[in-house]
Amino acid sequence: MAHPKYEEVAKILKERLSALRERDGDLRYKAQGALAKRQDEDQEFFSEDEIERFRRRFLERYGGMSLEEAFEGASIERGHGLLTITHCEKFALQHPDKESASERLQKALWLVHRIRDARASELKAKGFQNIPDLLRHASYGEDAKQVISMIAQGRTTSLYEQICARGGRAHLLSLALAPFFCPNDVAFLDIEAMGLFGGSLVMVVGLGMQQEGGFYITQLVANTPDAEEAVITKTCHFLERCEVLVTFNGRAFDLPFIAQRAAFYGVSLRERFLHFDILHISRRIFKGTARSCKLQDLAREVLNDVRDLDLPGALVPRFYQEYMENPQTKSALLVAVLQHNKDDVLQMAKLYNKLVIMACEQK
Amino acid sequence: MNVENAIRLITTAPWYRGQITFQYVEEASEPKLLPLPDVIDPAVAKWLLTQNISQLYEHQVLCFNLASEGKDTILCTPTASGKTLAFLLPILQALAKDEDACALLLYPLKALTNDQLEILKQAEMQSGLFLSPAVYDGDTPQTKRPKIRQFSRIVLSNPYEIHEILPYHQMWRRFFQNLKFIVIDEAHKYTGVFGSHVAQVIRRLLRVVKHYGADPTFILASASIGNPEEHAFRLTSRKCVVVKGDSARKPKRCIVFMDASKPEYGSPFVQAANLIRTMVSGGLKTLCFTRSRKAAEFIASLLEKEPLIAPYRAGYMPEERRAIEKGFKEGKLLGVVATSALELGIDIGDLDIVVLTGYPGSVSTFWQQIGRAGRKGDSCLGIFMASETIVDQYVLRHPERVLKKEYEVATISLDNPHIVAGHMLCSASELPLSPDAEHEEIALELERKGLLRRSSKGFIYAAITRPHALVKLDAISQKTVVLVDEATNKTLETMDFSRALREAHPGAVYLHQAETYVCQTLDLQGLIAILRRQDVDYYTQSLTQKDISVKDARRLGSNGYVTSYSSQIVVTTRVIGYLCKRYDRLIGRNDLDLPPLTLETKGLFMEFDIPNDYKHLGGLHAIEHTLVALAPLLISCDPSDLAGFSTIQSPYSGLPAIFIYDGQDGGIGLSDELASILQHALSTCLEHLSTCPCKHGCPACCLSPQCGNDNQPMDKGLAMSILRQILESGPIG
Repeated sequence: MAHPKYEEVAKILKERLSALRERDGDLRYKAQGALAKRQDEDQEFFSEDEIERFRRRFLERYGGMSLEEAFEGASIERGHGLLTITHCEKFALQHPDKESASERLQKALWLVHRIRDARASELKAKGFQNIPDLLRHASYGEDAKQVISMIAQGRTTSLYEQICARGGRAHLLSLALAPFFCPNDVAFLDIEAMGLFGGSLVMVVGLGMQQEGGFYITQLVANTPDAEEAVITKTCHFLERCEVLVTFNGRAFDLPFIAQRAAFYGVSLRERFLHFDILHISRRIFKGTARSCKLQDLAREVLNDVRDLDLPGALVPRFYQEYMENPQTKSALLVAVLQHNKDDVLQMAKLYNKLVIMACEQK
Repeated sequence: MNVENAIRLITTAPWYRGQITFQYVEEASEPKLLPLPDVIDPAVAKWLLTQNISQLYEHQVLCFNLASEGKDTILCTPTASGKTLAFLLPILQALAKDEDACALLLYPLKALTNDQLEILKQAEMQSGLFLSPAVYDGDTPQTKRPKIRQFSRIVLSNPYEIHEILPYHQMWRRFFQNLKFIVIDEAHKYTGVFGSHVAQVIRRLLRVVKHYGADPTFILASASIGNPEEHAFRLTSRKCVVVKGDSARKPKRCIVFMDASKPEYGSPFVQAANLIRTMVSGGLKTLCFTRSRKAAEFIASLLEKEPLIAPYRAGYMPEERRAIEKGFKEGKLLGVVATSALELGIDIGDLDIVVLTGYPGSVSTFWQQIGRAGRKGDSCLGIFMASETIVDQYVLRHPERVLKKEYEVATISLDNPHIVAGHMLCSASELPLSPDAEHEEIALELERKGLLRRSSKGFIYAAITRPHALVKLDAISQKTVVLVDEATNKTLETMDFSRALREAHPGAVYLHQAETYVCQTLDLQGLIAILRRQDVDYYTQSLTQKDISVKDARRLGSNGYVTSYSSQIVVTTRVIGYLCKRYDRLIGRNDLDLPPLTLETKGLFMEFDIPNDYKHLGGLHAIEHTLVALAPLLISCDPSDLAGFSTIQSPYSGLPAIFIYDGQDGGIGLSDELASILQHALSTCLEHLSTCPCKHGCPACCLSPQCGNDNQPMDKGLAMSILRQILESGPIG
């Protein structure tokens, strides 16, 4: 068959896709299976005017700047459509010492099989202040022994399962496991995806990790769709090396998305690491007090850390798309996206710091 | 059941006036039975024992052997010949021998999946095997899905769901890695544009399954069609062995042709009702198929005083349908008046009589419906009642047309770029795509438009809108209206938008389970119609006006006699009012103000340089029908994928014209393809009409069972002479 026919078909498909996108609204897609972001962010709706205002502010702030200028001090590598930007942040990830963490864990009587909060209070009143005390208890001695050995041997995976099983997935105490690791073993992950459906491209991956010399945030950026493969491959390699992973809503969003894209490209993804999704932990702790559980709102209220001009997460796909269609004139939008992603990773790390301290506080 | 006695019941009935015109007897034949294969696993044997099955039909053994050897198979069988067992047996055997093995069963209708699930759950219990069978479709709640993906070894689903879940294949990897069988039931249903879409979905599924290292065996089950091997290949891309399922016991079947067209004996509905009443009062279990939902309801309403008779159609809520099926099976109901919804394999027990009111449109379907009678091998009776329509009368006078069993062919197109391109986008979002040589060109065009990009592993989907939302497997509209009983707030039915305008407009008399309701309001925004239960002695018939307008017409060519054009066609259908009728007498007419339904599509039209004399319309009409009827041969689509319109005053330039357009919104390239072979198509029409032995037109040439005008006016002779004139006037452009 002749080309003009295929051209017509391709044109029709493209028009219908645009029409679908406009009709449904860019980003307010219905949840597609397991890849829906369940944050408030998703329910945000911006009018065209508001979007234009954002656009203008970013163009004003970052217009005409090169990436080197916008991100002073960052090291930038370019190659085959893949951009790698490494920032070094003035921030130190700190863990309380392992002893106080162990002590804190031992105070949680409810970790022992068959002991719930009510029973724990009873036992405390009777003089059993911590789990080692329970060793001399007729009924709970054996089970207490199990938990103590887990703590003594630093079996973090078993402890994590125990905490989740008995206290729920989002229990703050799980962060008391952090001090069993060196801060340099903790990785922070935040991704920016172009949509919510099971074929959406992941264009930006932000990875934070502490090393000798500081807290580094590496951003892997796909300048063109075909560079996504490299972004995913490098992300999976990175995750191979980490012992502890921290995300904000990563259980429902970031990780399944990476897994989806890794499966798409046939890249293997390590799935066994300790994963702290601090959205859920934060929600449990701050639900009554904080106005919203969005990362930047929590950072502002709990840490007093305010972002300057920030791009709302819901607008990321749109602005990234605009940048890709016009990389020369719209590079300011790329900067906006990258700044947003970097702020996400950094504030996540700061929030984590605070939560770990709270988790280890002796009551 | 004694056939002679049953016929005597008819001929001695008070309403009988000699309507029987012809009788034909198919003698019984003994089943070809074989012992159970030795290799059957003990668990499977246990299940068979509990079902009292100690022997198999020859076709079941054949199917078992082929499937177990990994040979793709298509089983062509009339209804009720043990096809479920035919494909379950090799599957259970494989799952018994390999504790990780899995099977996927695909059905075109949800109602069928629910029935099959029951059978599988029983099989699990009776065999002791761990199967965890589950239905996974649009109705499966989110909370149940992860467990099914993780544990189920037999999953029942449909092509629509597979289309949606393929991007999430890595959540299915355990299942796909271990997939040993894919069953496609009612495979003859996948024809035309719908079938072409499903064929692409199957190919995408195979690509994903192959990615996980599996190589499943196909087992297709189909009603009798003219081209099983070809159809199976087009649907699945595999060469399948054809197994004819005719070794089941065939009952002695008498086919009776009756003429119900004489108005002095009552309308055809009244005559059908009389027939059913007579059979049921003789204790004979009777199933009557009608051509439309309204007919089913109407006939049932004539029989409302009979507690043993009920209507049945797909629009009823599932619980209602289950109740009727169960009642019928258990003998609590002796008569059911149904639409084609009951033609597929839902279990309704043994039937003595099947009545067909009106020709169902194809020889294949005729035998599928008749074939419902005589399940357990007893003699049975099939009755064809012809109404006054031209098609019915033709079949009545030429019974050999159906008795010769020349089944229609199923057509699937594999190279319609409209279909293929959409699925390529979906494919590329599931796994990087390396298209075959024949599709390389399409991929390059999609790349030029920025929808695909090249990566090191192949083409990837690069746009940000979900391509699966773009590809609709069938043309069924998404909007459905819920019909609610005003008094009880109960949902009576859900029907699609366009039907609701015709049958649930304010003032419409609506029949449900033989009770009449009058529609009070139709809320088109909220998609709800409120109906009030009311005893009325009239019925309503909506009046629709169809208008065609032409946009962006492009002249393709002319030879002086006829000029052909391709254009955008806008078909506006408006329900303008309705008639109130008591029996056949008009007692009133009301106007309605409802929004029009517009179909914007692509089409082709031919204008003729002949006087716009009404007498020419018969010829044009015949040509229009013949072109559409020949579509499967000319452009590999179903006649129902196209629509036609003939007029002596074209909306374009006022000349007599024939329009042929794609039935799907937006067009799908069919009329374009027809336009590109127009000369050939018209000469094929002439050849077909000339060689058809009928005198004035028949269902095999220019009579269409779908004609909204009852095939009037129709002039085969004039059509042939117009066609000759066209061909003699030289090439058209």
